[in-house]
Amino acid sequence: MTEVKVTNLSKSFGSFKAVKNLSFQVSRQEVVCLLGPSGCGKSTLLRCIAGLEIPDGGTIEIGGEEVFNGDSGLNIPTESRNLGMVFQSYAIWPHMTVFDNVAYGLKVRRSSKNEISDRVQKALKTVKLEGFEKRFPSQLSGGQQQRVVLARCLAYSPRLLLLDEPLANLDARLRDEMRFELREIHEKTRTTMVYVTHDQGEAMAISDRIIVMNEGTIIQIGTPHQIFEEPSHPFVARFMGDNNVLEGFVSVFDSCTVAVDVPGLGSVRCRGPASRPGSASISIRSKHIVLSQKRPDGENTFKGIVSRSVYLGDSIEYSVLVGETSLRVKSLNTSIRFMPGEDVWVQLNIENLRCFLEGSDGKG
Amino acid sequence: MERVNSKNIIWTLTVAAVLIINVYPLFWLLWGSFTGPEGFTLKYYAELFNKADFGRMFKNTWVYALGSTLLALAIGIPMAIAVTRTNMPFKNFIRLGSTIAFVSPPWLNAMAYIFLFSPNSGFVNVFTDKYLGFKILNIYSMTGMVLVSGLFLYSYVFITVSGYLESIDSSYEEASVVSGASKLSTILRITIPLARPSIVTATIFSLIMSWGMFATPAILGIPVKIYVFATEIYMLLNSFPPKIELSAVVAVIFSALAIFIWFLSSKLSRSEDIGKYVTIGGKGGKKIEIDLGPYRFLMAGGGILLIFSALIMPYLIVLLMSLSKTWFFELSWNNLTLANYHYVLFELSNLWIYLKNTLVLAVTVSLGVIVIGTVVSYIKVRTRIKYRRHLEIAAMYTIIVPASAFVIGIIWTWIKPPLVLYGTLWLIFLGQMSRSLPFGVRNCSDGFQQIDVSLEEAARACGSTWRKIMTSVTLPLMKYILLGTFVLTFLSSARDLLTPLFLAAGSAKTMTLSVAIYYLWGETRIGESTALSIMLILLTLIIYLPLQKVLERSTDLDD
Repeated sequence: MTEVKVTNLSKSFGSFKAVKNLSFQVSRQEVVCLLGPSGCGKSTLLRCIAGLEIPDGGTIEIGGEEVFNGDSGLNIPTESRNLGMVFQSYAIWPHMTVFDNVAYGLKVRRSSKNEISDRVQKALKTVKLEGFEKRFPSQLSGGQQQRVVLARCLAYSPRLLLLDEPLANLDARLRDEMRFELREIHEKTRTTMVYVTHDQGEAMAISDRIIVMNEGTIIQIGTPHQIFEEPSHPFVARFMGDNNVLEGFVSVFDSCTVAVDVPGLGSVRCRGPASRPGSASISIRSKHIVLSQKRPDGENTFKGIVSRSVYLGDSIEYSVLVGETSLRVKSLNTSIRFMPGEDVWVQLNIENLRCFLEGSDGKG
Repeated sequence: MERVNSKNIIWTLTVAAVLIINVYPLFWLLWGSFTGPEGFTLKYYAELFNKADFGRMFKNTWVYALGSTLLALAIGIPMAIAVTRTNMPFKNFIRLGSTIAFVSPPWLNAMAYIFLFSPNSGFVNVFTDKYLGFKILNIYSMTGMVLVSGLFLYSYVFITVSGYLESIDSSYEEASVVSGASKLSTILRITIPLARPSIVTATIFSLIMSWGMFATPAILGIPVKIYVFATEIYMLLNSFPPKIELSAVVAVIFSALAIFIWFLSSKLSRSEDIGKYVTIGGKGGKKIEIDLGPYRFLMAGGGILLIFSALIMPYLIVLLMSLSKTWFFELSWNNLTLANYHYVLFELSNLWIYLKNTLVLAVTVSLGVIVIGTVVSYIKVRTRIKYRRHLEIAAMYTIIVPASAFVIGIIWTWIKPPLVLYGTLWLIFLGQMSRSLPFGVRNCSDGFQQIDVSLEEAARACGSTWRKIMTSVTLPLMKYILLGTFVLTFLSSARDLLTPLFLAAGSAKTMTLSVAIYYLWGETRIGESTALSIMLILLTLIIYLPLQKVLERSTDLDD
C-alpha cells in the first residue's frame, strides 16, 4: 500500500532549481531515506511534502489523498496534512514543559484531558523519557531533547513522520545510539517515515530503502544493500564510502567483458557487455584492492609505488600511485606493511570491479 | 493560496495604519511647502530665503548640531571602549548611569545648568565672580547649548557603540594580541575599525537627533534669541498669524538634508557590512580586557565625573530647586519648603487632566507601537509578501526625519477637513506613533530573527493553525521583547515635550505633564516647574522599575 506518492515534482528558488521533476513512492510502514550531499535538494523535497514549501509543479499524495497538485492549484496546508516532523534544530518550544510540548498536537486536535494524558505518557514511554514531564527543555541534554521531539510527533499518531537530519546536532556516540533507537521506535509504532540525511552510515542503519539524490534529481533508489553493493552510477559509488572511481574509455568489448583504458593507469578489464565504445567509469572499494610484492597471477595487475601508509590498528591505509593515478587501498592484513617509496603490485580483481558506461543507467 | 482570512485582514489594516501614520503626513508636508492659495508656488521658499535671519538660523543649527555631536562622540566612544574592552573599575555604574541619562527628561540638564551657570545668579558664576573676579560661563549661549546637549547625546553614542562592541566576539582582538600586537595598538587597529559601522550610525543619528531636539535650545537659546531649526519652527508656529507655510518649508529643507546625509553615510559605511562582524552567541562571552595600568583610575574618575555631571548632579539640583523658596537656592534650612509640591498637587487646576493625558498617550502609543511593530516585522521576517521591504521602509524612515520637521507634516495633514484632528489627543498620538514606530519595528524584527522559524513550522506540522501558532508559540516567546518595547516607548512618550507642545494647540485639554512643566518654566515658576518634573520622574520610575526587574529576570531564563 502506498503512503506517499510524489510525481514530477519541481521546486526552484529564483533561478536555482532545487528539485527537478522528481517521482518516487513510499510504502506504508516503510522507512525511506533521502540521501545526498548538502544542497542536493533533499531537504527542500521533504519540506515540499510537509507543505512548508510550495512546489512549482507536480503532485504529492499522502495516504491516497492528493495534498498538492500544481495543475489544479490544490495545496492542503501543512496543519491539515496530519504529519509529524522532526527538525534538525529540534524546535522544542522553550517556554513549554516536556508535557506541554508532547501534548501540543493533541491539544490542537482537541483531544480529551484523559486521552492527552494517556497518549503523552505512552509517547514518553516509547522514547524512554518517563518522569520528565515537568522539566523545561533547557534542563535536558541534547539526546533527551531529541527524544522529546520524537515523542511530540508520536503522541498524535500522524500517518507520516518526516525527519530532517534529526541526528546532525548530536555527538558521534549519541548519534550511533539514536540510530538504533529510531529503528526500535519504528518497530514499535510502524509509522511511515521519510528521513533526510547526508550520512550514508545513518541511512544504511535506519532505512528500508534509500533514495540517493544529487543536484535536485534522483540518482538511484534501492535497499541499503543494493545501494552499497550495486551502485548504478559513479556518483553513488563515490558517495557510498571508500570507492576508487576511475574514468576511462571503452576500447575493446564483447558479450561478457569490457576493456576500459584509464589514462595514466592502463587497460582494465571489467565484467559487463557493452554495445558500443564510449566513456566509462570504473569503481572498486579500497578494501578490495590487493597489494603484493611480486607480480600476482591473473588480469588487471599494475605496478605502483606507495606514496602514503597509515597504520590504523585493525587495518592499514595506503595511497598507491600507479602511473598518474592515485588509488586508495585498505589492507586488512596488518602483518605486512609497505612503506612510502616502496614498489608494489596492485591487483584489481574483476569480481570486485563495477563498470558504468556513459549514457546508460549502468545496469545494462 | 493562503486560506486564512484573518491574516489578510490584519495585513491590510497594518499597511493602512503605516501609510496613514508615516507616509501621508510627508505628502502633506511637501504639499504645504509648495502650494499657496493660487496653486503650486515657490514663494514660501523665496520668502524664507529672503528673511533676514534665515542665514543665521541655518548656521546656528549646523554649529549647534555639529558641536553637540562632536562633544558626544568625544565622550561616548572612549567610554564605550573603556567599558567593553578594558579593566577600568566602576564599569557597571557608568553603564547604568548612561542608560538612565538616555531615558531622562531632556529638559532636566538645561534647568540644572542654568542654576549653575546663569550669567548673573548662577551658583558657580556667583562663586567665581566673588572670589576669582570672573564668571566661568554664560549658559545662555551657543556654548551652553552645545555643552548641555552633548552631555545628553553622549549617552546615545555610548549605548550604540558599546552595544555593538558587546556583540562582537573578542576573538578578533585576541588573534591580534596573539600575533604580537600590543593591547593599545589592538584597540587602534582592530577594535575601532570593527566598531566603525556603529560609530558612523551614532554620528549620523546624533546629528539628526540634535536637529530634532527642542527642550535645550528652547530653554537656553530662545531667551537670548539664538534660534536653531527646532526653535525656529516653534516660533513660526507661535507667531501671529502662525506662519505655517514657512514652517513647512523649513521642515522640508531639514528633512531633505537629513535624508541626504543618511544616504551619504550608508554609502560610506556600506551598511550591508554592518551585520557581518556580529557573531551570534557572543552575549556574555568573555571579552578581552586591556590593562590600562594606573590610567584605569584616571579613566574611571572621568567616567564618574561624567555620570555626576550628566545625571546625578542635574537630578540633585532640580530636586533642590523644587524644594526651594527662592528662585535660586541658598544653602540654608530656612530656604527649604514643600510649597511647590503643594501648589502643583492642590492648586494647579488641570493637573489631573495633564496626568491623564500623559498616561493615556503613553499607554496607547506603547500598545499601538507593539501591535504595528509586531505585524510589520512579522511580515518582514517571516513572509515572502511582495513589497514587504517597502513596508519596512515606510515604517522605519521617520527615524531619519528630524522630529520637529515631521510634526509640521502632521499638523498639515489633520488641520483641515474632512478629518480635523488638530487640537485633539489623536494628533499627539499619531505624532508619537510615527516617532516610536521605527524602534518598535527594529526590536520586534530582532525578536523574530532570534526565534528559529522551525519552532513555528513544528507547530504547523503538529496541525496548528496560524492563529493558534501565534498565540501558543510565537507571541509567548516574544513576550519579553514586547514588554521591553512597551517600557521604552512608554518612557519616551511620557518624557516627550516636542510632540505634545507643537501639537497641543495650546489647549489645556490636550496638554501633558511635560508641556505643563515647560509652560511653568516659561512663566519663571521655577520651583513649581521643577517640582512637577520630579513628580513626572517618580511616575516613570514607579512604572519602569518593577518591569525592569521582570526584564532582567527574563534574560536569566534565556540561558
